[in-house]
This record gives sequence, C-alpha cells and structure tokens, in this order.
Amino acid sequence: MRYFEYFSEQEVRRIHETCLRLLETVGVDFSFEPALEVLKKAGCKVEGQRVFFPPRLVEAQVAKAPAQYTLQARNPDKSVVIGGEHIAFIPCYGPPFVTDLDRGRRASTLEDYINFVKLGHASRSMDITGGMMAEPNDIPHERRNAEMMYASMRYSDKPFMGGAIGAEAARETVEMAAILFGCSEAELAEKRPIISILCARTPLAYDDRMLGAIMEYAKSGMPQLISSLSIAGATAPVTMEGTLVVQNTEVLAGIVLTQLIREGTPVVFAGSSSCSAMRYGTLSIGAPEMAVNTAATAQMARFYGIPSRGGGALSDAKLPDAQAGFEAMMSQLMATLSGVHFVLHSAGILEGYMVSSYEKFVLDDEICGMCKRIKRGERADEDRLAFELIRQVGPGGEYLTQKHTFQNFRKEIYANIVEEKDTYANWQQKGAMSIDRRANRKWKEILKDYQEPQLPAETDKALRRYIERKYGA
Amino acid sequence: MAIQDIFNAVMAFDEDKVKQLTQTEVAAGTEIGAILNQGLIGAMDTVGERFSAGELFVPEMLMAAQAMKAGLEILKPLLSAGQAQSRGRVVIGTVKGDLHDIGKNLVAMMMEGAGFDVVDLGVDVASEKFVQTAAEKKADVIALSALLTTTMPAMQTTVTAVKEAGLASRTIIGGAPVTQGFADQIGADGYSPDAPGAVKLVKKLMA
Ligand code: B1M
Repeated sequence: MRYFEYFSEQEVRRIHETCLRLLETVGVDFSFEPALEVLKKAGCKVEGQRVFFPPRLVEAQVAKAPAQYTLQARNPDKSVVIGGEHIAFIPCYGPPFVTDLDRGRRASTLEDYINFVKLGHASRSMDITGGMMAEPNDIPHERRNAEMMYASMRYSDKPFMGGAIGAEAARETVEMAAILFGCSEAELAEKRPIISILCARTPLAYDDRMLGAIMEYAKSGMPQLISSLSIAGATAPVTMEGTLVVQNTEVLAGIVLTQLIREGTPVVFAGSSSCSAMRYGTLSIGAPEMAVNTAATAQMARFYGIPSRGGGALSDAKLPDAQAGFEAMMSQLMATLSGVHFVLHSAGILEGYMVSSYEKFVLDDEICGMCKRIKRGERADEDRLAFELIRQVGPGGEYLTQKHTFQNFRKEIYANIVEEKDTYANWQQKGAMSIDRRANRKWKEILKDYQEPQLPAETDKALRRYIERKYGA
Repeated sequence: MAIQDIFNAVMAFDEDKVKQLTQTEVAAGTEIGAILNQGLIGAMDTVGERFSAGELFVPEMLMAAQAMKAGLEILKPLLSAGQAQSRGRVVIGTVKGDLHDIGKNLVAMMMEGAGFDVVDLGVDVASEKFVQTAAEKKADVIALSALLTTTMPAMQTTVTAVKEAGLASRTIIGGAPVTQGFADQIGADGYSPDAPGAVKLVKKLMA
C-alpha cells in the first residue's frame, strides 16, 4: 500500500527548515535544571530557561533515534512492532469520566480502568492495552499509578503504557515492569515492554514534571512518545501549516534531549495537534484540520526516519452517535492511509478526550478492524489477480461455490463485530436494535467471557508487595 | 449619527477607526456618557448577543473587545468618578500543579472585554498567592481554573484559604472536569461551564 502524502517534498523541507530556524533563534523553554545542563553541555545556548538549538545538533541527534523497534509483551505472540509497515492501535487515554448506556456519565473508577484493560485485551485490533484509559478517581492520588500499572500487568499479556505524570511515576513503572519480567533494569531496556506518552507544554515549552519523566524513561531506555498538542488559533497560528511548525519544533526539541541522555533511545514522533472550535474557543478533535495534522505528522516523521503517532478514533460528540462515528472514522482512516505507526485514542474517546465510552470502545474497535483490513494491503500478483479462476468461471458464472472462495473468504473479507448487515426483516425480528444498543450488549458479553491470562503467583505476590510496601495494604 | 459610527466601528473590529472617531466626538463636545454607553458599550452588548446566537466567533468577539477598549482608553480621563468605576476586580489563575491555561485565558479575556479589571496570576498558582493578591488588590471575585482531576483538590484548598483569611472576595471555579456538584461540595460561590457563563456569573455575584 502506498501512503497518502499531504505535502510535496519541497514543502516538507521548508517546514523542517522553518523549525530549525525557530529552534535556533526563538528557542524552547525548559523549566528543569537537569535538562538545561544536558542541553548546555551539548552545545545549546541557554538563557534562563530558554534553550537555543544549533541546527547541526538537532539533525545529528534526531538521526540517532531508531526507525523501528519491538515492544516485548509478556506473551511473546503479542509483541508489537513500532515502525516499519505496522500500525498499532491503543485505546483511549486520560479521561476523568466514563459513560455507558446503562449508568450514564460519571467519574471513572479503578473498576472502569480494569474493565478497559479487559476490553483492550480481548480486542483483536488493539495491540497495546493502553494507559489511563479511565482515571481511577476512587483511590488516593499517590496510589493511582501503581494500581493502574498492576491492573495492566495482571489483566492482559499485551504490552501496555507507563505512567507519565512525573519522574516518580516513570521510576515506579520501570521498577514494577522489572518485577513483572523478573529481570534487571538493564535487561528490561532490551525488552522494552512499556511505552509512555510525554508531552510539551505548548507553545514551545517543556515543564519540570514532564522533563523529569522524559529523562527517567530515557535513562532506562524505555520507549516514549514525544508528543505535542498544539491548538490552531489558541497555542499556535491558525493555519495548520503554522501549527505543524510549532508542533514539529516542540517534538524535535524533546527528541534531541532524549538522544543526548541515551543515544538510540526509542521514541515516537508524536503529533496530536488540532484546532479551536472558534464558536466556543474550545479544542476540537473531530475536526478535518486534525486529520490534516495527522497526515502531516506521519509525513514529517517519515522524513526524520522515526515512527509516528497521530490520529485516533477522535470525536467531540457527547454520545456514541452518528457524529462520533463519522469523526472517529475520518481520523482513524487518515492515520491508516498516511502511514502512522502508533495510534493512541483508538477506542472509546468522546467529548474531546474528557470521556471514555464503553459503547464507543466497541464501535471504534470495529473501525480499527476495518482500517487494519485496508492497511493490510493488496498485491497485484498473478495469484491474486486470479486470471485462471476468472477464465474457468467465465462470463455469467458464479463464485460463491468456488473452492477458491471457500478457501480464502475468511482471510480476504473483513468480518464485522457489531455492524448491522442483515436484511431489514431479519434485523426487525432480532429486535430492531440501533448500533449503540448492540455495542452495549457486546461489551457486556466481552467482559463476561473475558479470561484472565496466567500470571505466576510469585510475580503477582511480588507486585502486590511492592505496592503495599509503598502505599500500605 | 457619529455615535452610531463608533458603534459600527466596534462591530467592524476596527480599533484604529474607533480611536479616531472617539477622538473626533470628544473634540466635538458630544456627551461622554453617550459615547460610552450608546457607542462603545452598546456595541459590545450587540456583539455579546451575536456571539451567543453563534453568529460571531471567539476571535471576532475578542477583537471587538479590543476595539472597544481602545475607545475607552480615550474616554477614561474624561469620565466622572461614577462613570470611571470598573465593573469589579477579578483575580484569576490556574490552581497549583496545573499548567492548563487556554480556558483560563479565555475566561480572563472575556471578563476584560465585559469591563472587569482582571489580574491574571498565570498557572500553577499556590493558594497563598491567590489570597495575598486578592487581599492586596481588594478583589471582588477570585476565579479558579483546573483541568486535571488531580489538581481539583487544590481548588478546595484555595477556597478554604480564602475563607480562613476572612476575605470578602467571592470564589468561582471552572474547567473541563469541574462540576456544579464539586463547587457546592467545596463551598465555592459559583461555577460556570464556559467563559461567557463565567462573565454572567461574576455580574450576578456583583449585583
Ligand atoms: C473561574 O471560572 C472558570 C469558569 C470557566 C472555566 C474556567 C474557570 N476555566 C475553564 N473554564 C471553562 O471555560 C472554557 C471555555 O469557555 C473552558 O476551558 P477549557 O480549558 O476546558 O477549554 C479550553 C478553551 C480548550 N481546552 C483545553 O485547552 C484543554 C484540552 C486538553 C486536550 C488538554 C491540553 C490542551 C493540554 N494538556 Co492536558 N489537556 C486535557 C484537555 C482535554 C479537554 N478536552 O479538556 C486534559 C485535561 N489533560 C490531561 C492530562 C493527563 C495532561 N495534560 C497535560 C498537558 C497538556 C498540554 C500542555 C499538552 C495542553 C495544555 C496547553 C496549555 N497551554 O494549556 C499534562 C499535565 C500538565 C499539568 N501539570 O497541568 C497531562 C498529565 C498530560 C500527559 N500525560 O502528558 C487529561 C486530564 C486527566 C485527568 N484525569 O484529569 C485531559 C482530560 C486529556 C486526556 N484525556 O488525557 C471551560 O472549561
């Protein structure tokens, strides 16, 4: 499959050069002394918190980030390639609220978090179970990261995302992962079972907590998304080109820091910039401009030879309705067609990252399945063009009873999960359910049928002991 | 007719023209109160209505407010004590531990546009800083913004600190995860889900 390219090669160069000029002459603020020291030592000019990057340094450091690497899962069959031809889908991240058709919108709990780990685990399209799919509002703040990590480790054997709210959360995540894998932290750096999202404090800054976590993960050799969420018309120019430049500049600055700390540390070039909904001044993520940014991010990352993040099943809708469906498909399809490698927020998001929806999780899972089908790609070779078969069947024949169909249809044609494709009469007979009701029934079924992957009893005990020693029983 | 031109210039977001027309009117001896109320403030009221109706967008509203303010600057030295009084003073900031400021900025800009005197303390603001500034500036309202569930408790800390300091300032809160229920729970004087609502809320509290 060929990727969709939004900009010409010349334009990509011009964007890159504009970013280098910004990095050199305008600079980026880093409000964390240890980061300033590293950057100064590498040859950056530092004035207060403002760091000015020599273009040669930026290009040399960014070139050190690997183009592809593998996140090793507890179950080796579920390890995930980041980069190359692969697209990885990861569920919703960060919402403080959840919603479902039965109980409505409410503050999320640890139980919701665990449910989303289980849904992510059971999904055939989610590659990584995620991180912070729902904020566990019902347990004390200090304990939250550890309990989320534990749940991710226990309820799934897929790779997962690490804590990102500061250096302590990063450290804790690495320590717990070492317990899970029963290995040293040096060995963990070979396995890379976790990936985390760290972000710039747009516009053109990084704050101390994020920098603490970035440096901690980089030291440990753990993969991280260096992410920017610039908002056209609010934290960045209202043109998507200008916003791309702000985003790109922030991401480059962050990646330089990671490579200076540990050469070759795996990163993802992560863009999730969008625009303001100018009628209200709020962020809009179900916007065509966001889709533009997704395509542009993929292209810029390709230019740098680093895996990209962008897109997601993004929506500003309040319910899993038609708006949620078309917005989510727009951005998910754009990520797929433009060659993004890491798609965070691939399932469940409503209200511009504020809410995780159980029903939308299932609906988005369908979208992801369809996108993976498209992404798989076709090969126009002799076998698949099937000239011989067409010759045999000839004009006026049929293919339903052909052995070729029988042998290949499951591989070839996407099998839907909740979509309605039956006849009108049959649909009526089955209860005339709308898609959100079908999704409601589906997620309950998945949770009911969920089977916990095996975790050695000693490992489980060691993890619980780690948490209890730190935070009490 | 000339006052109508000022009104029109605000509606056309034309800062320079508002300045120039206001100067001309002042020189012609037109009553200052009329320029202010029928020209500048009248235009902003209409802008507000058209914004609420979804016809005008945020950047347009903010640009109109800037044009209005440019005219107001010219009138200020000429206003009587009563006329010159601002609608009230608001100390605003994002609470401790929280760096989100886009919504807070929007609230501050709209309050300024509506004629309030706004002291913006920025982000990551400690409760002591809110209390100290509000006391110094004799703030009528302290407006707190938070975008993280982990920093919402800092709103409670601040609201409590304001009460304990015995300040007369009222406290209002907002931000995406904040709800009316939370405002009630922590004893804040008000909550608004958006910036225009925050302006209305302050007006109501000051009435
Ligand atoms: C006083 O009276 C009032 C009255 C009304 C008030 C008011 C005060 N304040 C606001 N209002 C109201 O009026 C405004 C409009 O009319 C509205 O203001 P808002 O601020 O809601 O709306 C703005 C105009 C536009 N909206 C926004 O600007 C916020 C959008 C989202 C996507 C968001 C953004 C942009 C950012 N973020 Co942050 N961020 C999210 C946000 C999700 C969301 N949809 O809210 C949220 C809040 N962030 C989150 C997180 C996790 C984080 N963020 C972080 C950082 C950032 C950026 C720097 C990238 C950026 C902020 C840039 C900046 N300069 O502000 C980190 C924390 C930094 C920190 N210590 O504060 C970090 C921890 C990220 C991380 N893992 O890397 C999540 C919260 C998690 C939780 N459970 O609480 C989050 C829900 C996104 C998510 N799903 O992950 C109303 O709320």
